[in-house]
Amino acid sequence: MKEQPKTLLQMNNVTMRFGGVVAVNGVNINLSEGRLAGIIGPNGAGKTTVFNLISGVYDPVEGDIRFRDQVISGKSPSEITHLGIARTFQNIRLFKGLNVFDNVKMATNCRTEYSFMEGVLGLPRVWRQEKESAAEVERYLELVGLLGYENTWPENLAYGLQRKLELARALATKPALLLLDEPAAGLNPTEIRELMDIIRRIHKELDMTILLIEHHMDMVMDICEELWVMNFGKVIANGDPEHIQREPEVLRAYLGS
Amino acid sequence: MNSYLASILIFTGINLISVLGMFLLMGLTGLLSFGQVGFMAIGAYVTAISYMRFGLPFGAGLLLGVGVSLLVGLVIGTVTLKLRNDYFALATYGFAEVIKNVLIYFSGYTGGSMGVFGIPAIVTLPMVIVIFLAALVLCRNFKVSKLGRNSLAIRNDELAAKVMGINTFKQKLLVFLFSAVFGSVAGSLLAFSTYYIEPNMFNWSKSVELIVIVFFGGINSLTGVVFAGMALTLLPEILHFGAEWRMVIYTAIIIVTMIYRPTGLFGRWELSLSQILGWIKGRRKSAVGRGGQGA
Amino acid sequence: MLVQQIINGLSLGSVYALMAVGFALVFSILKFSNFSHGSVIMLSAYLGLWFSNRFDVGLFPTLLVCMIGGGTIAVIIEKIGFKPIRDKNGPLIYLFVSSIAISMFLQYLMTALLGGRFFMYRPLLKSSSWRFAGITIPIVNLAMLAASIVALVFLLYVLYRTTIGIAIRAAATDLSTPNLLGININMLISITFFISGALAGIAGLFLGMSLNVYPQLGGLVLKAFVATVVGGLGSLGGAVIAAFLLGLLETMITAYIGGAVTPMVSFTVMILFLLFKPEGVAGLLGLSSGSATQKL
Repeated sequence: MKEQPKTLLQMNNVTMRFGGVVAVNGVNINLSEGRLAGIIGPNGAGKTTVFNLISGVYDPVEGDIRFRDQVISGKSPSEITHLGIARTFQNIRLFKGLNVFDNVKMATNCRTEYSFMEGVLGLPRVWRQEKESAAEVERYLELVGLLGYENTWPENLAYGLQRKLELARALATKPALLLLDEPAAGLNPTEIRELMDIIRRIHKELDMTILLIEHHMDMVMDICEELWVMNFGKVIANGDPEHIQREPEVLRAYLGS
Repeated sequence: MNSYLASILIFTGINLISVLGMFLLMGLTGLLSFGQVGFMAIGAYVTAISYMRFGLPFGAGLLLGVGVSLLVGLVIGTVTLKLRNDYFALATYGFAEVIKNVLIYFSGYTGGSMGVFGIPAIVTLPMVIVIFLAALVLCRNFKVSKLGRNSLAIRNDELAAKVMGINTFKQKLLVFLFSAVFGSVAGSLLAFSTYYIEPNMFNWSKSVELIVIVFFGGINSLTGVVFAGMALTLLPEILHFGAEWRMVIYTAIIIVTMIYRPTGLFGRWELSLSQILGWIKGRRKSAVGRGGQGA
Repeated sequence: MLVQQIINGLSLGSVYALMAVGFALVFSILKFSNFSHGSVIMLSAYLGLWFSNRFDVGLFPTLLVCMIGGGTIAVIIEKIGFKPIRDKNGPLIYLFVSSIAISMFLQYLMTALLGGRFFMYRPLLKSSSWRFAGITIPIVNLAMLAASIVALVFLLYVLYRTTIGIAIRAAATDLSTPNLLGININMLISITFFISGALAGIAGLFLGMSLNVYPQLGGLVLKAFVATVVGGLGSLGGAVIAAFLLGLLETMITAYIGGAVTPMVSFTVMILFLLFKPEGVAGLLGLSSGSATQKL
């Protein structure tokens, strides 16, 4: 008998409203462990809101979200990160006061164990853990191709590199589920190909489940194993890319009606 | 050493200790607080009253002051740190005013607006220097460990900091309490170096002075803040400015800094021990960790 | 006695409302608490004092000069203290720090130049109080109430019936929308500061007339702040209602309990609102949807 893949993330009938506007309307998503999946849909379809709901930036008005069978809706963003979900932002949100190295290193903070008092007293354990984190940071920087930029300030990086830095920062929290919000936005074709390679490597080598939002259809169809299509806050289709491309409702949403 | 100079240096050292607290809170974490002076007042009064009335030794009184400051800080911080940054600032202003009014009102213990007189000058210059250096080391450890990174992340983008797994409320509360300790210790030292204390020494404009120093030196630079603290405390003493003109100049400095160089005079530049050693050995390195500019 | 206190409370509340509306107006479009508003009030009070003495004129010319003067001062402050920070896309807290620094700078500058003395307005009104059915009410309070209400109604007209008013309200939701209406953002911000400063000018004149003129007069802007917070973030209607309530509350407490506790009470009310009803009076009445806590 074939082993069923375990469900990692589950959204049950999730609804989000802002004032009178329904941004997400009864969304059901069932993401299996180990998938590389995507959410697509026209602008304003509610994709980013779905990410904000999963990462705890918003609490859903109705429905619940489960991660490894534990309800996470209602938890704070930092608790959710600690449980193993990391994300990037559509409008890059790097920390301007920290250099490239520290931007990634700060994301390892949630796994360092020393306390506030140990930190200010500078006890040996602090330096040991700082060293371990530093080694990790180098690994992630290498993975995304940012070695050599450690001391640069993020605002001085080229746009494509800023996207990669956000990716490295998200990886540094060591998530089980990685949410990428339009990782290819603003990149040129060469950069997009590089990014696809990096995403594949992360998926394979780090064994991460990845859910991404993207507008570049070639890329989505190429790397994603499963897709959800959203329009007007609702999921209108779900399945593998070939199946999705033939779905009449998807064609209507994209070609306009 | 002549006693006038010594007293100015003691005063400068004490000022620097509370400036360091403000640096962690406002510089690194981005929390503008007018409440720092409130903790100085608590430290000063608790230590002075416990010494004068109950015969508690200075050291024990100082620790007692820290304890009281932590308790008060815990209550104030829990209540106010969830607010928007500017509301937090105003709430801390309210806190400083309340403390001042409490000191005036409960005159049975505090001497009301007359204050507490005849406090012995136990505090010596070496004592202030040692405490200042210890405070400096704690601040440096803070800045280079995950605590500093957490704070800077919160200052720059609180939401992104949360999403990267920082419990921002807890971090802000811990920094608030930690800086309260600095304020309280500075207050205790102040009381035992000036012979008397009165509520007007703890006006909120004192907090503004600390804020000016941090902005002037640079919200990212411990070195800058220490130099700015020395300069802005010593200069008015040497030049004998009147109190009004001193504040006119201070506030003008902050306006000009905010407009032309919001990262402060020193930007991100830090002086490190190895650089100092390098200079002493005459091996000047041309590249001294000078970072870029911008917020 | 009670009627008298209510009228006095309402007239105090009306000045608070003038200050609060000016304060909330700037808050609604630039999203920061502008403490330099207090120095506009203080400087206008000095301006009115100087003008009325120098030219020996009555209330109305002085009022006009205070409004124009206040508006101009507010615009100058904006250009010097805020625009450079806005141009560099500085964080909001910088604007706030700058506003505090400016207000302290002007306060200490006036102290250094003129000393902490209190200056008194010569009588600008014919009689000093009004007796009616056994109650006595200072005329200045009535003039204050009348002028404030006229100014507030006029403001309402501007905001809801003129293009510029509609642009200001649009800017409150999203600072880039006035561009779509073909209005320059910087121009719009200047106009907003001018209106806010003109209201502060009226408040400054009346506060100067009833409390005398001194450098710390601008500290009364804290009342405006409390009213805006209690009123609800950037909600003009909420701020006006809260300002009147605050004026009444303070007058009642001063009359029946004692002036010493009054400042503590208003601050406590504000903190309680921040903690338990952060969306303020406006939230209670369903006027706006803002939040004082930082979820996002």
